[in-house]
Amino acid sequence: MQWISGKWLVLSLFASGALSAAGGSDVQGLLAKMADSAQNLSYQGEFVYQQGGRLETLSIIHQAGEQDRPESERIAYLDGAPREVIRAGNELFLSRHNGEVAQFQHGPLMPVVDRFQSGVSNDYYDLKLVGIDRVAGREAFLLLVMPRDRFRYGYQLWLDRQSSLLLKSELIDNQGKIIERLQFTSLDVGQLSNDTRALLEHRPADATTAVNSQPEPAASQWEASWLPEGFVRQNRAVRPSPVGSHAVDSLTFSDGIANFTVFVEPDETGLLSQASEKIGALSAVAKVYRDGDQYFHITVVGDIPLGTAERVAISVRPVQSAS
Amino acid sequence: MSDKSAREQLKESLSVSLDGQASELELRRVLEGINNDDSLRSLAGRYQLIGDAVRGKTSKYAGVDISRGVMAAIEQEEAAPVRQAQPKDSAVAQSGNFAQRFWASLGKVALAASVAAAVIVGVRTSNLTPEAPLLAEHEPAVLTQPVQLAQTGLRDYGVASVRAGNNAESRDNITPEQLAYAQILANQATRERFRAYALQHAELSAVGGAQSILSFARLTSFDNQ
Repeated sequence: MQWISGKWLVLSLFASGALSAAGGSDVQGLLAKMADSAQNLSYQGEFVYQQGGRLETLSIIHQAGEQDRPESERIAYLDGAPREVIRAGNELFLSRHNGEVAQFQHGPLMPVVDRFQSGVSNDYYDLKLVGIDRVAGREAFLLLVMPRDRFRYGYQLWLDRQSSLLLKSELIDNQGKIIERLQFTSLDVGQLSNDTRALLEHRPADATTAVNSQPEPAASQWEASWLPEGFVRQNRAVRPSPVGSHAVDSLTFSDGIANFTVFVEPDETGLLSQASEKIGALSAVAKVYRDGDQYFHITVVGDIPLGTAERVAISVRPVQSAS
Repeated sequence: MSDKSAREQLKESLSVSLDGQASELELRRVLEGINNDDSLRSLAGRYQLIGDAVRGKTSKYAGVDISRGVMAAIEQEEAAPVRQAQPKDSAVAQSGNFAQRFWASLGKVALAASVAAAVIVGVRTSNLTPEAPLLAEHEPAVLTQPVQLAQTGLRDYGVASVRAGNNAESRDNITPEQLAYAQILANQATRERFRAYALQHAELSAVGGAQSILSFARLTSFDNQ
C-alpha cells in the first residue's frame, strides 16, 4: 500500500468504476495484452534506462510482422558511443562502437514447453491494479506485480491505457529497493513512416562474429534439477562458445516476466573458477561441474536474485535417463 | 612435537577453509599442506562431505575434493612429457633459454596460484549475496571445488603460461603478486564469459518474450563496466 501515493489516488478518481475492483485475473489479462502488443503493434519512441547511478537514453522502433516481412525492431543507444541492436525475424545484429558487429541467428524455434500456459501467474506473484498515472503524456494503468516468494523480483509496471504497451517499469528487490527503472519519454503507436521503416532495413556491413544456432540440436543433455516454482523452459539453443571452440548448450526459463538462461560449456581453458556477479538487474553465477575427468562451466544469467541463480546453478546436472 | 601441533593447526585451518571462512593466507597454507600430506588430503575430502551432508545436500559437487584437483594438476606437471610445440610457441623456444626458463617458472607458479585463486574467488563472492543466510539452510552456500589446470588450452587466459611449465622445480613460493595475477586471470575469464552470455541471454529471452526492451537496455550495465 505504501506504493500508492496521493497523486495516484487522486488520479484514480477519474478512472472508470471497473478499475476499483480490479484484481488478479484482470491484471493477468492486461499483462497478456502487454506481451501481445509488444510484438504485434508498430510503434516508436524514446526511453530512459536507469540503473545504479547511471542514466541512459535509448530509442526503439518496432514494426509488427506483416505478410512479406517478419517482425523487426531497432533499439539504439543515444548516449555515449553509438551502439544498436537490430532484430528481424530470427536474425539479430548487435553493433558496438568499436566496429564490432555480432550477428546471431537462431534456428526454427525449439518446441516450447508450456509457453503460453506460463503467463504471469497469480500463484507466484501478487497482482494488483492500483491506479492510473500518466507517463510520457499518456494515460497509464499502474500495476503491482509482487513476488510471493524470495526467488524473484517485484515489478511496478505502467501500461499504456490505450495500447497496453509498457510505458514504465521499476524492478524491486525483496527489500523494497528499486534496482532499475525504464521509462518512456515519448511513444507513438501506429504505422511507421517510410523513413523510419528504412532504418529497420539497415544492416551492418560486416558481422565480425556470427553466432549461429545449430538448426536442430539433439535433446538437451542437461537439466536444472531445481527451479523456482513457476519457471518453465522457454527456449533452447546450441551455439558455439563465445570464449572457446566447443558448443554451448543453453536453456532459457521464464515465469512469464522474469527470465534466466543456463549455459553449459565443456571446459577447455583449464582455468576453472567459481564466481558470482551482480550487474544491475542481472545476476550472473559461474559454477564448475565435474564428470570424471571432464569439467563443465555452468553459468546462469538472468533478472533474478543472485541467491536464486546460485541455487539453480548448483542444481544443473546431466539429464537423468528417463525411468 | 612442534611438527604435530603444526599439523593440528593445519587440520583446524582446513576445516575453516572448507567452511569458507579462511583468510587468504590460511587458505594458501592449507593448500600447500594438503599437497604434502596424504592423510590431510583424505581428511579434506571427508570434511567437505560432512559439510555437504550437514547442509542437507549431497550433489555431484560433493564428491569433488580440492586435494585431488591439486594433486592431479601437480602430477600432470611433473610427469608431463615434452609438449608438442605449436607454431606460436616454437618462436619462444628458439628465442633462447631465458624465455623458456621464464615461462617454465611462471607456469609452475601460475598453476599453484590459480588453484588458490579459484578457491578464494568462490569463498569471497559467496558472502556477498543478501540471500545467503536464507539459502544456507537449504543449500551449501560455499562449494569448494577442485581446480585442475589442463595441459592444453586454446585460449589465452594465462593458460599459455600455465601449460608451458614443464621443468621448473619450485612450486611453493607464490608471491602475493603472482597470486593476485592468477586471481585477475580467473576473474577475467569469468567476466568475459558473463558478458558474452548476458548478450545471448538477452537475445534468447527476446525471441519469445515481451520484454525485449528491458533485455537489451540491461546490456548497458555491462557495456559501461
